[in-house]
Amino acid sequence: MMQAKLFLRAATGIALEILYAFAVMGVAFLICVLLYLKK
Amino acid sequence: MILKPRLNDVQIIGYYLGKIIIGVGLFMLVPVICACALGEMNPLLDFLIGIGISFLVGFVLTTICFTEKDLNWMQGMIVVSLCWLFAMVVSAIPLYLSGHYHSFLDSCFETMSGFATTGLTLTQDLDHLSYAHNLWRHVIMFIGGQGIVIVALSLFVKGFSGAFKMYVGEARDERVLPNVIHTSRFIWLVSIVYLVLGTLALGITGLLNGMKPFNAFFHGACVFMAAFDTGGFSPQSQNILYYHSLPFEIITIVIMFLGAINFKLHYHLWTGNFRELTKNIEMRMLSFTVTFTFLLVAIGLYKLKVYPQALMLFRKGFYQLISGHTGTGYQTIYALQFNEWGDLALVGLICAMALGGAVCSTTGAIKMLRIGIIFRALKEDVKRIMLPEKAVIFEKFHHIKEIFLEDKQVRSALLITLCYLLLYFGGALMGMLLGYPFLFSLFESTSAAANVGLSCGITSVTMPAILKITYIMQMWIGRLEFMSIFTLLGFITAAIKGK
Repeated sequence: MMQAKLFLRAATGIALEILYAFAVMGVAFLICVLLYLKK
Repeated sequence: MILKPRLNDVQIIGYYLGKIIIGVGLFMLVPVICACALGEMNPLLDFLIGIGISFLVGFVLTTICFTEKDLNWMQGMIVVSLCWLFAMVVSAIPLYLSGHYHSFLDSCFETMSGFATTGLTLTQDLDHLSYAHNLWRHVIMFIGGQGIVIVALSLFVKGFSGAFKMYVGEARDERVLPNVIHTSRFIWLVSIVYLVLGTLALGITGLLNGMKPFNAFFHGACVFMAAFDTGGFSPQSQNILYYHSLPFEIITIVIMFLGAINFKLHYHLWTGNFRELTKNIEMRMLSFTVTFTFLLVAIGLYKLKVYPQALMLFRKGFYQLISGHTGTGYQTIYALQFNEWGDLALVGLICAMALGGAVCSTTGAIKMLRIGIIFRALKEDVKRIMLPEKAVIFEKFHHIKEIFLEDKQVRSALLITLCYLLLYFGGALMGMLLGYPFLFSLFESTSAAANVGLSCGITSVTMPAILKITYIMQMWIGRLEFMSIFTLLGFITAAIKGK
């Protein structure tokens, strides 16, 4: 049970780190889209 | 008065240096296994010669200098700075023997670029380099990213109290766990978990893109090692451009990001402290600086109409930006295409390269914690001017815990930042002396000193030997963050002038 909890925590941590990277990518893509929408 | 180093100092330094060189030699067994498995007999011989020389040097040093004494701070720092040079030379032997390098200096450039996780390359005809040699380039990068000493600490050393001195000397001033050996093992755990996940993701993407299964996973593993360790070596001469794949680019962006995160933060996130991701000063600074520098790059590229669509701007502009900011050096454009970027976009990219990722990660450069501390100090000074004289002013920041800003932290952050700026401009000056334009010289110099690896075309086999040596020194100094190098210089000065 304890092992499963530890594993779940680590998996959530990994998922959050990956989500963070996608969030930054999303902001960058939004900047690109906004720049090209402007014209 | 400067005290002359004792024979005892040299003996202890030599002993630990020998141990680390044996460690580097043992790592050559990885390409040996690869060469045996794939029937690459000539590369096998190259690596056996490399292992033989490493073991010989290592055993001679450990036998002549045998000691049971522990390292002090000075000795630890010197072992670290010297072991990077020795590792560069012994690791360059099999690469030089491959015949893909113009000179031994070029192969030393390659191995220092690998160990320092820079990614600048001088390999000729990379596309026809043997699997074993190619794997060795990436293993070097993986070892360098973890830290050569970390490798030695976690694998070959059972435990000694001097370990922390070498750990700090290798520019890792934070311990994830109270015990430095456990810290190095945790760093390995994170790297291996991501190695499996990253290789699978890249391998499957390669398969879906039509690569053969062996090649897909071989490339996946190599690209992962170089991306997570923010290195930038690629199995193909066209770098990431070779794959022409958006999913491949997105996966490498994620891996580069993961590599730029502090290992201490990985630990806290993996053990359930999820709020740290949004509260941590380094993550906040990273989000801010990535957005700000990308704005510069995007506006610069947009104004010159370099890329006709938003997706192209993202794939070319943001990819190079994030690759530069995390210190990786992967490129999805040819080096000479930076000529089209214009001054604003290039300045944005140079700023991103100069800043780097988090401390205690695999990135080089100034790093986010220092930038955050400098900003906080600036805020504190502005407050001091604006508030009444008797007001008690304090500033704090969140890095795993709440920390009150102290003058010594600001001093240290400013000193290291100043040293980096001098290193960037020093290399640029050398480039200009040799006739290269200012912005390109600064670009290449920052790329080398910040251990990035993006190239605008200066780094090539034909560049002058003095520039190759300058970049080797910049990569070495930039990776070790000055202190151990200054200690080595002090030691040499004391040996000459001391009484």
